[in-house]
Amino acid sequence: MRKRNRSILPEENGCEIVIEHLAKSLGGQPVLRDVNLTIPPRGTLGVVGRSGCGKSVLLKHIIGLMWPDSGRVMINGRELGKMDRDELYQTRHRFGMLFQSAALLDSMTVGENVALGMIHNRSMSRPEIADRVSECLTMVGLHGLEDKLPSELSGGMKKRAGLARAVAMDPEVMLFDEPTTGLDPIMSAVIDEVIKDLVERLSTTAVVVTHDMRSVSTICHQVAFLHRGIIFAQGTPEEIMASEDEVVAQFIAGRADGPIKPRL
Amino acid sequence: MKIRQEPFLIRVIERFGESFITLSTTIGEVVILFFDMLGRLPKLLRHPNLLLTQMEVIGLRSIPLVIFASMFTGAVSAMQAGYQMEGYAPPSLVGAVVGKAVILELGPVLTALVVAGRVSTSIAAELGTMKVTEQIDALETMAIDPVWYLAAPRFFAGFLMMPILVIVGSTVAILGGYLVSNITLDVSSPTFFNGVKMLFSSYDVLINQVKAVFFGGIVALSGVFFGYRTTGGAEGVGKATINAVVTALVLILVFDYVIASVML
Repeated sequence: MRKRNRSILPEENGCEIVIEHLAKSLGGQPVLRDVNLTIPPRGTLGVVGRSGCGKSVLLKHIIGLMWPDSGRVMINGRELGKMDRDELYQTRHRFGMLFQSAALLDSMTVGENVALGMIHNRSMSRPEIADRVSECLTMVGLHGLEDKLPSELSGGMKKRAGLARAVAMDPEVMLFDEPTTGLDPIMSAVIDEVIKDLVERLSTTAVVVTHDMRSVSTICHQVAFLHRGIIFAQGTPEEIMASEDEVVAQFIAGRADGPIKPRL
Repeated sequence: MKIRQEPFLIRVIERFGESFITLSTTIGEVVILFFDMLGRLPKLLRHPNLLLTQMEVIGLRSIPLVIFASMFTGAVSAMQAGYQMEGYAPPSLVGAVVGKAVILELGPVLTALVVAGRVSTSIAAELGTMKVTEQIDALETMAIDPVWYLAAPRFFAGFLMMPILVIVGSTVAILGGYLVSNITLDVSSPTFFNGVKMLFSSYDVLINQVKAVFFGGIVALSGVFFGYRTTGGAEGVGKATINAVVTALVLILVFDYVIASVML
């Protein structure tokens, strides 16, 4: 078994993410007002909420792609905003992220995309990297497509290639930004199964941002409902599904009428 | 409803103040990016492949365009010199005039303008597209520093290759001048090149190369800067591309004057 590149704390501690009083405005509009959330090591947390409620913004704060106006994100007790560049990158070695658009580098082949992190962050030989690339692509059902360009792949294949890239470095924490958005129901189910399988096999912590409640019930152990810039409700998928709160119930049922007024 | 308007003078002052703040902020951001890239130079030199690839893309692939543009520039210079000197000065001076004009002014400036049109735009469009499609964010999540991986190689490649392109351009322009002098003005080879030698000064070559270094930095930096700060979708990439090339063209002309004032 490959040894992970642990950087901050010993392996047995895993990776705990604590978000405290996080607030962020974009273009003068408050998106996150006061988010408090603890993501324990190992397990899958789903962050759900309406489109534009700040789910992806929250995810980008967790990996330091965005910085809060106030509040903080702690990774194993260390505040992300107080890390220098080297420490931030060391911390990012422990993360893998699947973007909504997959964000594959379009000038590179699928194989080169998956290999990129290993080439620049690991002292691995070329045959070792090639083996790992092949292994990751097999995991997501894309074996033999190393030489394809991203432009030659379908939407579902791009997501799976993005997944292969995200798991290539054996991350302790995986972040998924709307992994099934834009896919047909069958491909969504395939992606859900791949994510569930990967998270269990690698025993990582996973944060899944989505508004697909079927995905949530398939892959998540805990659900946080983000509404009006705060974590409005949190619980197991079953608890959230059975919630009697009118706001949560309207979102789960997908009704147009209720306390949440859609802006047209 | 009646909206109260500020007096005209106040509005002018406000507009001026806003523009001043925007300009100051932009200059500050350019300076920060420049020093960021400078700080990545030692690491870039340890991984020269990134730099060599960009030197090929930015430098070697610009050579055909530079040769084409320079050939005609030299030719038209010789033609106009011959026309203007007709009846006043001997044709033997055509070589002297063409050589001086090309080395001091036309070689560096026209080469830089042509390369700016090709390189600033391509860098801005490439980086801008990567920015809006989250490919740069993806690099960050893989703990790959995008300033080192994307920005610095392009900047230093432009910086290093422009002097070579200017030497090629200046040489070809003189040859273009020679061909026209020889064919249409009936100036013999020894007469033309003796004329070039007559006013040749190694200090002129120094000015030629100082301009080239500055212009190379301007061309690459404007492409990198506007590409890197692209926001929005396809429209944002279009704006970044326009801003990059317009800024590069204006700064080339401004610095041409500044360098000439200081060195002549």
